[in-house]
Amino acid sequence: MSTVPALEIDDVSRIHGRGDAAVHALRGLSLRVAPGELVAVMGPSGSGKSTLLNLAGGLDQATAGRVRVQGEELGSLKQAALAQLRRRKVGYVFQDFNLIPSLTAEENVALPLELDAIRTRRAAAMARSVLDEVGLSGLYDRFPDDLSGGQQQRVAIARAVVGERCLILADEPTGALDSETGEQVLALLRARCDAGVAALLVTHEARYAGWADRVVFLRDGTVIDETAPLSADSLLAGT
Amino acid sequence: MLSRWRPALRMAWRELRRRKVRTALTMLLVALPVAVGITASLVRHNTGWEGEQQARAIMGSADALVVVTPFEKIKVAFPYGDLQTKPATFTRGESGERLPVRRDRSSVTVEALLPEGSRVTPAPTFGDQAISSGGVAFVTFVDAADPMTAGLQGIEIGAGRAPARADEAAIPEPMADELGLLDASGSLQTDATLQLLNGQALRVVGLLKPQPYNAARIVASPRSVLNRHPGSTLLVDLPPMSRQSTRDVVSSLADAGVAMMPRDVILHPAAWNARVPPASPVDVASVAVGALVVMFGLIEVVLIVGSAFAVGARRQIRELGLLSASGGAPGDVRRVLLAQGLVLGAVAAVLGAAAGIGLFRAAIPLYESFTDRTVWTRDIDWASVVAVASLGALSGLLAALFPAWSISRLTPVAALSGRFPIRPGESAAHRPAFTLVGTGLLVLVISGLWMAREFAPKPNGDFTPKSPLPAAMGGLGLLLLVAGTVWSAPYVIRRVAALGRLLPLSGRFAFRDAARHRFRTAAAAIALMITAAGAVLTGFVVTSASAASAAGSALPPHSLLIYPRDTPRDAEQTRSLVSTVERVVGDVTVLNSYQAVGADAPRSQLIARSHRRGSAAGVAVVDEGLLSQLIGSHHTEALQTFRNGGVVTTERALVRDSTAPLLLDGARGRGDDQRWELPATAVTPPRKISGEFMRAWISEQTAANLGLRTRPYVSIALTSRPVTNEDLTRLAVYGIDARSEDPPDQNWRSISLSAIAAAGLLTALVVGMAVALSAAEGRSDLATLAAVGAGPWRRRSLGAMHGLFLGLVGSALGLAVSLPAGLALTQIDGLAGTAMPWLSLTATVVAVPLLGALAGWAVTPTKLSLVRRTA
Repeated sequence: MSTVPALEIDDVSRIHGRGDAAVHALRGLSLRVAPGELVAVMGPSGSGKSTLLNLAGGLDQATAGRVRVQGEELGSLKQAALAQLRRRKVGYVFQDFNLIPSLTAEENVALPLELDAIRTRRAAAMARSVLDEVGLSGLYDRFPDDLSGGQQQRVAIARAVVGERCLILADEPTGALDSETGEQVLALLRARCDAGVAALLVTHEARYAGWADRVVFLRDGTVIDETAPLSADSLLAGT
Repeated sequence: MLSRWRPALRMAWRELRRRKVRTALTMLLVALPVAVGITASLVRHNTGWEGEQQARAIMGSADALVVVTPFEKIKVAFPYGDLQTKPATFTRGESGERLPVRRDRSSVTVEALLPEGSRVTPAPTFGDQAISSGGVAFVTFVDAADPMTAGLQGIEIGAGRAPARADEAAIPEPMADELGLLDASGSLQTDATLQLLNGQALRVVGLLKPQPYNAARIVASPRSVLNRHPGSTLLVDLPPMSRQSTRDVVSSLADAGVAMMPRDVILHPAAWNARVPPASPVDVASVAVGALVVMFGLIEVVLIVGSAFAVGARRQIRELGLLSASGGAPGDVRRVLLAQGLVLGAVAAVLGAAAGIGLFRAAIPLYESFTDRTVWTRDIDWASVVAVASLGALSGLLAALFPAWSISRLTPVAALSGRFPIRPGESAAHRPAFTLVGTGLLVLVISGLWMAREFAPKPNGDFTPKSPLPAAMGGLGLLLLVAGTVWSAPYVIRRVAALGRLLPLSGRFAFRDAARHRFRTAAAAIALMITAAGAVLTGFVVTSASAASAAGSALPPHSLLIYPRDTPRDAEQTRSLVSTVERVVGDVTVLNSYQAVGADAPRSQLIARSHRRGSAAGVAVVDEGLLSQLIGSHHTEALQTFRNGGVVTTERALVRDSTAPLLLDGARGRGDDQRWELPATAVTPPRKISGEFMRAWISEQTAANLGLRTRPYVSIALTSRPVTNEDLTRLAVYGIDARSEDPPDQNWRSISLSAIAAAGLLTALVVGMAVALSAAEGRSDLATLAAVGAGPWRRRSLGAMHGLFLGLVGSALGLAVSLPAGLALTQIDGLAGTAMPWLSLTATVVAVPLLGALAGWAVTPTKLSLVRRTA
């Protein structure tokens, strides 16, 4: 396993808007995620969790500080290179699944590969293989509308890990799922991390944070605490 | 690179299938103009004077035309597609001159010279025949029952049968009606008989279909008793044969002194070494108008479809954000939207082409009834079909350009959150937009002035080719003006929306909402803008063309010009003429003109000659009413001069110091003419003046004071309704030779009304569509309003105010584009002033906002489902 951190965030700030309307989403935040590590991020609404994920995936630019993925600094990359990074190294999983409704499960998973100019047949084979891994064999040609919430999120995870991705960014991936399905999704995520992929998981729920190697607490754009996962009960007690 | 289009095309195709209603609506907007364009192009292709139409007029449906010449042997050529013969054998005359060898035509049996299986029938010959009612009928001798003659001379039997026997005839229906040969049901009487002035009678066995002729007409068999000079030209049906075999037949017939022109010469002149007739000079004005219409049509389709695309693109914004999150670059986002434009444009173009071809087949009968012409072919000109369809497909791609570009500029975060953030500095973008508008206006003004000069009517005989540059410049100006207006639309929306603070709650909310979502509002407003501009420009084109037609017309509308027949005509003959005209066309006012001659010199001619050499004009004696019709009643000074015994003329060179010299030419022989110097006024008439009325006028009283006699000449009958070809045929039955310019005017009126109705329909369709699409985007706001207690009426009034806002901005921007463009571009008609399309201007200002409000009201649901409330 590589010793280079999958994600390094050094003293990053992000300010939205200008002047009186300026909002400080992140204030000098630093964080490292090693390969194979699953880090959970918790915090109240507006604490900067989603902004952190957007910066980590190169979807947004930091106002100050540095973000590196596998040692590559995102601030120096142009649009095309950032897009390539998202195709090859970073995978997203969103709360509301965010599958493209006009593409089948297989096509949704194959999309980053096809965008990377991999031939359709090979991309389809790779997508099927990952869909098999997440337990969706035989549902390749289903459109998102024909899948249950849990199945849709599995497709989203398959899309996030397909290819040689080293980092999964999951924004409340269980938010729209029942608890049993949520546990299954987290188990899948954990399995990918055990296979060497790093993951940053944003969640509100302590029981899901229990799957992580570390839990980072954010408030007002800064890390206020960083700890090994506690039991759900102690987390709920307000630690 | 192509591999990156594959997912884009797949997503585009699936998205278009998923949003069926939106896709169908957008496709309709592309397919409809493609269908109309293809129909117009095919109708034009099949009705032009070339190929089959020309062949029909010359030889009906026959394979060849054969002429028996008086020469023993001839040479045949087909210059410009015509038949040309010259003798090939010669002899010496008594004085040694070279003479062609002749023979008796009747000695030739053409059938024997033709290939086996050929069939012949006489080609039409012509004559004229006085009929007992007083008219002179134009007679065509033709076997109208023979299929080979179908379409020749526009002859088609509409009822009854073709005349076959020597004493039979077919005549036009109005002529039969006028002669009392129809029964109460309008059918031909069984014993209908046409009495000729020479005492002969013909049995009328058929009625001719309406045709664009206004003469009394008789169609009779070649064996008719009236046919005293049978022709030597035949129509021939040949057995199927190759072009080379046909050449051999032409050659062998020429050796027997018989000329044959095969139909193939007209259809494929190049194969017969027949030179193509020289192209008529290009009418720059028509070509420029055509190019501008195509250009504006393309802009209109692109902007309307582009607006619909913009709405669709905004609704896919999260999916496109997801594409970015999955590693798609801005180019991939662009490709998805461009692929949608490409697929939609291509499918719509194919559907539009199919509809256009179907519409063409349905339109031909309409064209035939409209023009009284038969269209003999239904050829599909695939080149023009492909060209128009390609333009349609291109318009789909162009329509997707701007939405694709603008959405690909969004950051992935903005796209994923479904927001369209306004970038800093975007509010200042109106400055370059207004610079573009100003430049467009300036270019239009210059081109308008240039065109007014270039296309102004020139003195007779000046055929200097017109420059196409001012028209091209006008097109460029229009393009810049449209681009600038589109660019400035969000700024204008913000400004207009500020007026909303003066309105009650619904208006205030709707106007503010429009300003808040001004880029979304702009898409709908731009669709309305270009449609309103299209309607106003259509009005400009129709009004200007109508004014140009009226200015080019030499007769007042609803009038007949009656040529002299009985000269001298006494009062009784005049009364009889008036009563006949009144019986045919209803109440008339007859205004007369007279020729002035010397009391003892009936061949003399009164003319006005300028003090300097070179300018002269014939002088007619006219009623004051006729003079008012010719020069317009607003020339009060001229009418006063006329009443006071002076001359009124259109030739300014004839008038010096308010007098003009008159001369009775040929009164007493050379050098002894009578001369007068009369008070004179020169005028500029409102329209052309028919040559029969000359260019200078005096009253009957003035003529009498000069000691001149007058004799009736042409008259004008002012009618209470438009004069038709049927009226002219009926008058011809009585020998009244008349002309009117009403029939084309009637056609023009129908075309104008159709164009205005089509523009109105398109405007209503686009207003409804744009308002509905825009309202659909604001539906979640309505759900929020419903949740806080806004009732259905309040929600509907909000929808109506939103529609009103779109209509107001759309019509204002539309006028900003179309008024200067219309004023400048119609200068190409070369009219003295500009004909304003008040009807379409008023309709645009009033109807577009009202339609918008109505559509906004109608598309706002009174009940919101739970799904919609939570949407």
